[in-house]
This record gives sequence, C-alpha cells and structure tokens, in this order.
Amino acid sequence: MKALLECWNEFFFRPHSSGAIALCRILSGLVLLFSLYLMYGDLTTWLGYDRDAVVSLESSLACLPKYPCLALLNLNAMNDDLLFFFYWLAVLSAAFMTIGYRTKLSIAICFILLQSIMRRNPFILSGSDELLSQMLFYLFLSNCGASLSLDAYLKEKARMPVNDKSAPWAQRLLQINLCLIYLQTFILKLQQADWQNGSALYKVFQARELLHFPVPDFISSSQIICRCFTWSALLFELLLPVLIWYRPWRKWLVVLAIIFHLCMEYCLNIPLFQYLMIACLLTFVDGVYIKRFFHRLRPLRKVHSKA
Amino acid sequence: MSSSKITLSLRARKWISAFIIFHLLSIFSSALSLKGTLKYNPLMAAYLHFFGLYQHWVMFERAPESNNYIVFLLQWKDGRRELIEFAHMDELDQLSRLRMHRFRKFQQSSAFNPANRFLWKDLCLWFFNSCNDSDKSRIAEIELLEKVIPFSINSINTEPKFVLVYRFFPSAEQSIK
Repeated sequence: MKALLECWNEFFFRPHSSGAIALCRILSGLVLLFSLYLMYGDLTTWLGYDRDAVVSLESSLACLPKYPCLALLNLNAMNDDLLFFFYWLAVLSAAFMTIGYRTKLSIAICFILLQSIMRRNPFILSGSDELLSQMLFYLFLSNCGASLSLDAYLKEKARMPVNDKSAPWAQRLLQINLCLIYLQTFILKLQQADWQNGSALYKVFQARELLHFPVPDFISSSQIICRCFTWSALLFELLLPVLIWYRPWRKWLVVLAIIFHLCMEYCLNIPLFQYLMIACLLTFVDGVYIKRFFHRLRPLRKVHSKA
Repeated sequence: MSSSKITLSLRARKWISAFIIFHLLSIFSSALSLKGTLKYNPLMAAYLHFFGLYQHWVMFERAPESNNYIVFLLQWKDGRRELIEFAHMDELDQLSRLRMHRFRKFQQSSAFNPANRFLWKDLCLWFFNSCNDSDKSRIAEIELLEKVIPFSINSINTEPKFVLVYRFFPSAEQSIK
C-alpha cells in the first residue's frame, strides 16, 4: 500500500517541467484562434437567432442535456448582440491564452464561451470542438502559464523560463485522457465489420466530401493497401496508449504518432483535429528537449539583437 | 526519476487525489461505455455534462457508406420546378473547404438523422428566408430532399438517389411529413 501511494505521489505530484504543457497551451491557443477565424463568416448562420440562422432556439433546446450546462448564448435569444460580444471576447481570450497573459483567466473564459457555442448548435460540432473543450479544462487546472508565457516573463523580470517545475497532476490527466481517446476508438472500431474485414479506410477514401488533398490512386483504389492501412491504424490505436508510458520508447512513439496524424491531416478534411491531437502528444515530450531547443535559439537571438 | 521534492502539502494532495479518482472514474466509465456506472451515478453524469467532458466523436467507428447532400426542390406557383443544390466540398478550393467544414458536418451527419427531424422545418424555413422578398410570394412549396450517392466497393460512379424528407408550405405556414 505504501509503495502504491509513493507511486501515486511520484506520478501526479513530483514537480515536473511545465514546458511541455506550455507548448500544448500555445498550439491549442493557435488552433482556437484559427477555428474562430474559420467560424466568422458563418457566425450568425450557425449560432445566431435572427432570420438567417439555420437552427432555431427550440431545436437547440431540444438537444440540451437534462443536467445543468453552460449554455450562456441562450440567455439572449432576441438578437445576435450577445453572440458578437462572446465571439470577440473569445478571440481576445484565445490570443491572451496563446501568449500566456492572465493565463488561467483567459483559459477559463475560452472554456465557458466554447461550451456555450457548443450548446447553441451541437449539430455542427466535430471532434476538434469537443477535444478542444476537454483540453481547455485540463489546461485550466494545469500550471501551463508557468513557462513560455508573458505571465512568467513579467514575474521573472524579463527572463523567460522554459522549464519551470510544478506538480503535473493536470498534465497527467490530459495524457490519460489522450490515451483513453485512442483506446476507446480502438474498442469501438473493433466491433464494426468494416474495421474487422479491413474495408473501412477504403470507404473513407471514397467519401469525396471528407477528403482534404487527393490520395494517390494506387492507395485509394487498392483494397490490399487499404486493408493494411486499416489494420495498422487499429494496431497503432491499441499499442500507442500502452507503450507511450514506457520511457525509452516514448520519444519515438510521439514522433510516429505525429507522423500518423499529419498523414490523416493530409487525407481528411476534419480541420484542426489532428493539430489538437499533436498538441496533446506534445505533453509527453521531456522538458529536457524543450529546454535544449530554446537554448539553441539563444545564439540566434543574440545575432539578431547585434544586427 | 526527478530529483525535485514534492512541494504540495499533504492536505492539498488528499483533496486533489480525491478529485483525480472521481474524474478518472467518470471519464473511463463514460468513454468505455460502462453505461451502468453512469446510469446509477447521476453525479458523474452531471459532472461530465456540465464540463462538456463527454466524448461523442469516434474517429470513423462506422465507415461512411455514401455521400449525402442537402437539396431543395422549389415549386413555383406558376408550376415551374427548380432543383437547388449547394456546392460539393470537392468543388471548392482548400480555404473554402476549411470554412465550409461545419456545413459538411451538418449535411453528412446531422441533417438527415431521423433523431434530428425537428431540424427539417428549420432548414426549409432558413432556405425560404434566404430567398428574395419578391420570390417569396411566388413559392408554392419547398421540398427538402436528401441526395444520396452510395459507394460501390468496385466503383464510385453510382447513380444518385433523391429521397423526399420534408414538405414545407410557406403560404400556409404548415408542413407535413
């Protein structure tokens, strides 16, 4: 029992570099900003209440869970003033979150606004919205503003810490959540005939609406190659969440997983999801590598300032 | 192993540990479909809903079977019929595809799901409202159709099918399935 408690304390509470979770914060902040930019053109169509809105308030309310939830946009269903106020507040908070200014507060605002947007129109949500919302929850709990942030820069009097150490329990929860995503996906897919017989990716490649960039013909039209890819993806989703905890293999698995998600990004038009998965994977990167990376940048900064 | 000492107080660690256990139980029971756990534990369900921690997406658990499109069939009062279809994603440039991905999601996953039948009237009303004022008085009926292009395992050149989903009569402000 004592050994178990020691392991628990070691895993969740032993101070750990916050550089990795700070990188995750920066990347997810950039993704959120880009997501807001993509949303701007159709803001009133998807989230508004005026005549040009697709989904009525009644339909939106019909989908709300019976439990309390953060559906603040429904507070003013008379016009779209509140929507525009929320939108620009979200842009400002996402920018602050990215640079790490008033980090906790800006993440909390982003989280509440994103939840409200998700509750207004759940029919347009993709995996990236839900994953981003989950990430904001963990980032809020974490100490992601302690490194690579304006907050840290101001606190340390003009010196940017890249590896400030703190209890990593929220970062661990984010990592466990990421592993759970892969495991859940594996379990669900394993029950489907398309994944068992290996035809799933072949069908995905035929879904022209989903494709991002053209997949080479010799891949998309070959059932044998598609079968190999389908089963490889399944194997990857089973093994990654288990093996990533084995330290000697971790960095290679992170690299492999990033390549996997970049390939998915090339093939599928599911904007931003893959970048968010990569942001989550970055939390597994050892603080030593981050420190080394930023130390390498120092001479560049000196050269730049001399010039 | 890190050489740093644990700085959090025992009391803080106890509270955080209790939260971690509750949180992990909640997300595992939700994600691994342990429905019984959630069913009998409203506190966990309320917690997951409030903080939006439910995960609905499943990364192509079910591979798509067809390309589905929203199509409107306009019936003018003078008897003319006009089929109106939106641009397909593969006809758009890269930036437009990114901008339109929510429409694609709505079209492919939500619009024709029978569980979301309340959206059909919303869709017709939205389409009607987007018409010119001069046209509105000349529209007799709007039909919402689902255009389905099924995949064939050997060829993607299959004939599209049109399925009538909803009829909307703007003048009477009433509609029938």
